Amino acid sequence: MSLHRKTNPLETLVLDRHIDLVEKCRTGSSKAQYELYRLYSRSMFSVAMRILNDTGDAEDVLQESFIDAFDKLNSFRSESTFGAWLKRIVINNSINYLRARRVKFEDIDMHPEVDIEDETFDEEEITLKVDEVRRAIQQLADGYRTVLTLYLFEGYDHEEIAEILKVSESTSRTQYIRAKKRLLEILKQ
Amino acid sequence: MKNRLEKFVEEHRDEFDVYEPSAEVWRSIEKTMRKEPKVFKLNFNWRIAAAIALIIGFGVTVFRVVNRPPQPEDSLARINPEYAQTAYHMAALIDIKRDELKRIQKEQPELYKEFSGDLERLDKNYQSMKVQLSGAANQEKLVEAMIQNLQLQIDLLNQQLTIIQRINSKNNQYENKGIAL
Repeated sequence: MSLHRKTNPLETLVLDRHIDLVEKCRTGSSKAQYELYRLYSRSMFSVAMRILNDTGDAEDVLQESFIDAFDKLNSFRSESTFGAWLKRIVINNSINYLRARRVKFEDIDMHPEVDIEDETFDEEEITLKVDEVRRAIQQLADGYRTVLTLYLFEGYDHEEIAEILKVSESTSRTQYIRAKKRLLEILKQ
Repeated sequence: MKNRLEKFVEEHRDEFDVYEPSAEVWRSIEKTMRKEPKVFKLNFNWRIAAAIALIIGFGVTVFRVVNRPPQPEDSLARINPEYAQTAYHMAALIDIKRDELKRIQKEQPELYKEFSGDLERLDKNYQSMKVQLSGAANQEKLVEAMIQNLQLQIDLLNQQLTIIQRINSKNNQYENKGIAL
């Protein structure tokens, strides 16, 4: 059983309440636009911050993403929640910024010496605290941080991450395990 | 336990969203959204309706053009398209020169009256030929006469403008002399 879910039932319930706000935005209401921004800016900014690790870039991405969302609102078909849809825009824009920073997401299947089993880590002895975990994430390399945040925080599975980053699914898996190991190492220090 | 980290994050998920964007972000969004002209997107039925309205409108326009009584300019174009184009350019040139002439209306009303009177006579002649054109037996000849008339108007205007220029430069000379004295 995976801990991760595509949509949290609670999240869906909360977000569905915003559907009429979305409808008002479609008519160009700037008041409704601000309402949606107010509701989602913090969580979306946090998504961008975790991936980009840079306030300026994350703010640029947040701005672009909301403008994209308001512009493309007609293509939002309520198949997913508005939040999930918006989050995907934020993530895509963040990844584009990372790529502009020359961060490369490459397949690592070429390296058979990587033995995943050996890379598991004993998590038992580490006390976890939100602030410490958050700070440890900031110390991860861009590639690790991206995969870890998409899987651990944004609820994407490896198949989806592979699609977003255009790498293979096994690369996503391996990168995640390594990123997590590195994170726990940092936390242990 | 292998999945402790995952469980921990899931339980504290919301506490991780601590990052706050600056107020500047919304201001920029608002500014951009206001600048962008709102593109009106019609749903499918309205698009069909708009398309039908356009087709009907186009049809009506075509019908009207086809059934319109013959117009003098049209007949000129039908008799000799080349002449029609020449006439069009000449008429445009005449308009420009007439505007130039109008500038002296205030300073030299007498002269203006005389000049425009000469022009009016030519123009009246042109207009009457235009009316005769559609029913005329010798259309080619008449068209030539019309073009000649326009050429005369241009020549006359050129002469008039030259005269005005001369008068003006003389006046300037006097003024300059006056200053020199």
